[in-house]
Amino acid sequence: MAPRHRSAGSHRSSRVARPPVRRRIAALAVTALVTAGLVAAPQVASAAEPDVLRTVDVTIGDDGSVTAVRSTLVTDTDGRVEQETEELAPSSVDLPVRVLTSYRSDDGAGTDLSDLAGYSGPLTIDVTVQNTTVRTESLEYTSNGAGVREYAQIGSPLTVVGGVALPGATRVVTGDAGGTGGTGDTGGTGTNGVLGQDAEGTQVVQWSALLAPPQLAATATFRLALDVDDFEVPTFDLAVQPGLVTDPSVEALLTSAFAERPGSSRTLQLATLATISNVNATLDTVGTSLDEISTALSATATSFGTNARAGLETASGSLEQRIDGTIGELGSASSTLDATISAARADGVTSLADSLEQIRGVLGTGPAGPGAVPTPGTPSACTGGGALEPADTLLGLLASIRGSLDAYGSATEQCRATLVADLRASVGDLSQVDGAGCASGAGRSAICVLADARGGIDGALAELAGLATAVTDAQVSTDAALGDVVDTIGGLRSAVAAVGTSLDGIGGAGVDGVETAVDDVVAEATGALGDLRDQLVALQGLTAANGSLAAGIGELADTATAQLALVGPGGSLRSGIDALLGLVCGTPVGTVSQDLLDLLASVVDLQVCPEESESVVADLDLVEDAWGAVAALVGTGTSALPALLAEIDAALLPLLGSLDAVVGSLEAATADDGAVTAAFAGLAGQLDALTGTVESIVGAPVATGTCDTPVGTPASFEDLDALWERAQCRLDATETAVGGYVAAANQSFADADGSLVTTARGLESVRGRATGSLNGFLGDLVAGLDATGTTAQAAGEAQAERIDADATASTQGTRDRLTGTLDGARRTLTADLGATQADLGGTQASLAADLARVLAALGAPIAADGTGGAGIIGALGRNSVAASSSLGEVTEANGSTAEFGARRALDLRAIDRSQQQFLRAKDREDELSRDGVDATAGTVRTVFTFHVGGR
Amino acid sequence: MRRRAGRLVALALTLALAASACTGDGDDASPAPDPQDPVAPAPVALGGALADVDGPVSLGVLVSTGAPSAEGGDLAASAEGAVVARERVRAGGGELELVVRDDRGDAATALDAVGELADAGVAGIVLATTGPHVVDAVAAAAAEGLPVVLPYGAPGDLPTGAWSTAPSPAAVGATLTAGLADLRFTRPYVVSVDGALVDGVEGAQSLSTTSDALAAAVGRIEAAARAETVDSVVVAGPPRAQAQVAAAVQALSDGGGAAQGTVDALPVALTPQALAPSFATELAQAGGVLGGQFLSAGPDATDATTLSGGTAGDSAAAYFAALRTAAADTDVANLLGDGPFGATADAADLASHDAVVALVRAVEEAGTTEPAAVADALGGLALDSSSGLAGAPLDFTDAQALPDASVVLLTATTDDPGVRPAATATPAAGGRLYWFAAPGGE
Repeated sequence: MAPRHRSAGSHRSSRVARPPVRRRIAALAVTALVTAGLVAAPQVASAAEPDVLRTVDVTIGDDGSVTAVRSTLVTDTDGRVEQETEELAPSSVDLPVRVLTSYRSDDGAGTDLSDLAGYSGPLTIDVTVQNTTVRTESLEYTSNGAGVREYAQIGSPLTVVGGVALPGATRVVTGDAGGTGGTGDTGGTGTNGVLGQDAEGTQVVQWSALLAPPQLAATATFRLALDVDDFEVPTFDLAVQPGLVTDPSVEALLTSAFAERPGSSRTLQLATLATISNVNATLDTVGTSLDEISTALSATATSFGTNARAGLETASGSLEQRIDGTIGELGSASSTLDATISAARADGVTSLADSLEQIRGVLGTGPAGPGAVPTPGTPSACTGGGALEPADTLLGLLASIRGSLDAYGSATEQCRATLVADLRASVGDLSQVDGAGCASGAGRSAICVLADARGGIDGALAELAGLATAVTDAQVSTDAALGDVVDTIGGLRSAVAAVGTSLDGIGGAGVDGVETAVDDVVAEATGALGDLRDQLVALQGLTAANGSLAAGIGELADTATAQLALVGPGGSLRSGIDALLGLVCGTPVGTVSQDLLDLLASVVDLQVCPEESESVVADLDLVEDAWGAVAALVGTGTSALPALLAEIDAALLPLLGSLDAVVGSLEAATADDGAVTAAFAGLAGQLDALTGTVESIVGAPVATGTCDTPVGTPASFEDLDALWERAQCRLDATETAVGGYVAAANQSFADADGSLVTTARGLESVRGRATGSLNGFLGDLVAGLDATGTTAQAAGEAQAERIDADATASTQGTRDRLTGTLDGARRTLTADLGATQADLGGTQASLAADLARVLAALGAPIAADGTGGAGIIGALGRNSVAASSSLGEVTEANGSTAEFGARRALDLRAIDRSQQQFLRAKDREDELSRDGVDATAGTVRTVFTFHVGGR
Repeated sequence: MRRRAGRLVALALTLALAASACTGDGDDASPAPDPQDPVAPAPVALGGALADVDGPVSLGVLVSTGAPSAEGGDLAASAEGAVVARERVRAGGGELELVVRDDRGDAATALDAVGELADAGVAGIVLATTGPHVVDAVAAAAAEGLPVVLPYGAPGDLPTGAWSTAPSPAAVGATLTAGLADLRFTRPYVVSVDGALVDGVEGAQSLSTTSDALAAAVGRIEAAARAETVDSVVVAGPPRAQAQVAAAVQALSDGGGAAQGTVDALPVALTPQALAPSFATELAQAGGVLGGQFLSAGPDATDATTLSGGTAGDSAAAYFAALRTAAADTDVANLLGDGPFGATADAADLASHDAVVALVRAVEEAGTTEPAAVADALGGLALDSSSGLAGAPLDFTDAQALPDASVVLLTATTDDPGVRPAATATPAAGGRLYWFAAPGGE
């Protein structure tokens, strides 16, 4: 408890039985404040002279023990001054400071100064004074428009002055005060006070300090470094007064509010501005960063775990787009096939479209949502409590695996075990390969989903084979039609030959014989020519642009085009099969990250068929070649079938004309045998030409090749047969291969099933390595960001300097006034300390006036409505507002960021909190002075004096 | 030092004085000390310690330099308080040696270190580290009969012969809950990082995450804050993770206010791992504001404790007086013996000091350095400031030697109480936080 003085009629339990020394004095009561030691009590820090003055005199032994406490109270009641002195029990007094002593000598270190009696040699004595008035209080105030309630330390500022008188022979070491040389600095070895002499020539060392926690130091160490001979412990005299008696540290208070030091307001502002720069730099370089991250992930073999998961997240977008694209292409292929149905009239196309649709369904129906684990049963708490969406498509499965890995990365050890089990459930086991163990609908395992995909592929390949057969049949039918033409032409040639023979016989007969022969020939030839004409007309019906054969060729061309669209580069069937085989066999598809594939391989061990997949592609290439050859044959080139058919068609009209001419000649044969013969000769020549053209189309049969026989340049319908056979062969091989891969994948699933737990544990290890790798990368990234943000940071610093300049300008006037006041107070106090034996009464008025000006300079805070405010406190408030406004401009200039606002608000809160602490400290100072004194006594000023050691 | 029956004499004395002062009677069974007796400060030197023990006394100290936070890597610097204890004992005339081993956070090395300390003849071990890697080491020490004092918490259930002088998880949870409620925060978002837990805090929402997935966690906190379903954040985890979450939470604030969806600055309550100096460093590096509102739990035994009077303040002041003296003496080496203590005094804490003092008092009580006897003696001791402790009283009749009642709410500040030797301290990068007890916590 603080020293108490009774009021009239009250009982004081702490007072000792010894009667108080009470006497009246006519002189000013302030003389009672002067201790018997070297140090004069600092003067009151109030503008008005207090109604009550009190001094508490404390005697401390060499070992730091408080041995005696005496309190003297001086009151002025209606001009009558009374003084009351009483001895207090040391254990009953709460002193505002703790005084600790310690020493170091050649004989060792210690805390009891009596150990030093008679010592000779170098010696350092520390007298440490600690402010113990700090209490934690709950503060409630408004900062940046928001109410704040928090705990803060509140302590009364104390002014401490000290002094010690030393024998003249004692050498005081003053060379190295160390550090800042201040009393709060114990780093040096020399005396950190001021060495002087009193009026009698005695050496005097004096110190002063302001203990104003928490903003300013709570502890001061008065260090005395000596070189002694037969040492006699001196008495250290200290005077402690609540308040800012003389205040060289007020400037430090301002500095602490705005100077750049760790945790200071200005540092925080600068840090905030740097944050803005970094944000902008980050925005500018985010694209580059992502590329670098992607590159780093792909290039770092050991960066699996964490990086792979990150890679999955970034690559999953590409994957999902890829699958979406595949789905779209499959849909497009289905539409194309639908259109092909009417052209090719192949039932197999319809089935193939259905199969492709089925594959599309297995792949998925749209973009994958957030990661979800297809674990049967209730949602797992390890995933954060979110409901789990089942996955029954490959797309959904991938999303599920991603979700599982996300959850795995952030899960506890226990949850990781659960998630591993979830992953195992997601993958399934071999017993489900035949589909018997696969549930329908949602929640199927990866094996079941891939088994569906396999079924879809099998179906698609079967339908492809069927389509090939159907188209082959169509070709055979067309070929038969062309065969009829050949037969017809053959018959025609026979007829012409027969007529020619007849004509040869005419030449040897007489006129009568000739007439008879001509008549016979005419009759025979007319019949033959009639048949020939009929056949030519039929052939024309086949080969005309709208003829049935041309139409069949056109249909064939459409079919070839459609097949190329499926199996050619970028073809939907090729892409679909590639994608499926890529997913099954681990073959990279498009831009899907290798890390993703590694990740999938690690989880389900899908590295099963990287080499075999190449043969599938080769098979498809051969199928494509075959279809390409068909297309070339039935396409639009000059050597293609349509052109040749058009050539035939074009030849038929003159041939019919020639035929008619022959018939006419026959009718006039009697008149001109030579003309008949010539007409037949011309007809025969034209028939020969036509026959050559037709035969070039039909061609000679070629040897049936194998699947591996290269496809040459086709020229006839016979070549077309071979092409169909090769395509059929390759399609069969493709079907077999794909089925084999799926089976191999299923086996791998089974093999991987047992090692999933090990794999999951391995992820943790790999993640650790990946973290190291990623840290290195991030270091490079940060360096890059620093470089990029230099310009913006410079701008921020310039803005901060403007803020600081504004703050300086706002406070300069106040500081100037304060400096003048403080200088006056300091001079007064120095003079006072220099003449310690002098009467201090004369200086009291001057000190009081100076201190009044100090208090006035400290001023008052800005009111809630923004008005008022004076002195340092007001300046603090104005600067806070000004800084807020200026930094608001910075915010606007650099782009609004949430981080800036948040940190700025906390920054301002720290300033506001300091202001509140400062204001409460003044209250606490008053409480400390008044504690223990009758509340009705009026204004009270208390001074504590301590006498340490010696005596 | 007293047996339990005689503990807290100082408190009884205070109460007796108060009673006497109020009633004026003198009926107490034991006569009250004369109020006129001098009031001595808490002694800096632990005089008489080990005076009745033959030969020098060796105590083992196990640290984990360079280890991750979760394995005690942040505590090696704090453990320098053991040096202060050693110097105080020596100043009092006792012969005390500290045998230090560094396990670098590795379980096998920790196990080997315990064996080496046993072979070196130590009377007991201060396990100035924590984490799963010391579980086997503690068990091995107990099996060898070596008493073990853990100033930074137990990694699991403690075997017989091991004592924790750190706050119990239950006390931490209860203190944080009550402290937040006193500040009118009743809907915390509880975040557990890397398996660290905070017991007994009922969160409006909660999640477990890892150090490399904090961004997602902060995203959830922001969503909850904007929905106004939470009003504060509690983070359990290593200092670095705590700092990163705290910095991110600070960045969420948009100034608050009454508008729906705005986020006021959320106070952040932290488990005692944040009391390590590295928390402030990590917070600054993460872009956080050290002046934010941070709460934690622990005994009132910090730098700021010296700013108040009373027994707690005097005890802490004596500790720091000894610290300053040791720091100024270039002949005093640090814990690992690879440099002057003054260069590392900035982080030395009271917990490691008190762990050494407790073992010293146990050796005194046993009258021998035989470990089993020391363990037996320690198990019957109740110590307080009169025993030389710088922090809260410790009752070793329970494996949880720091009573739950001694755990108080702590609040952070950037204001330096100034009790450490500034000239010899290495300034922490980005500043430092100091913790002080909230009202009612004394």
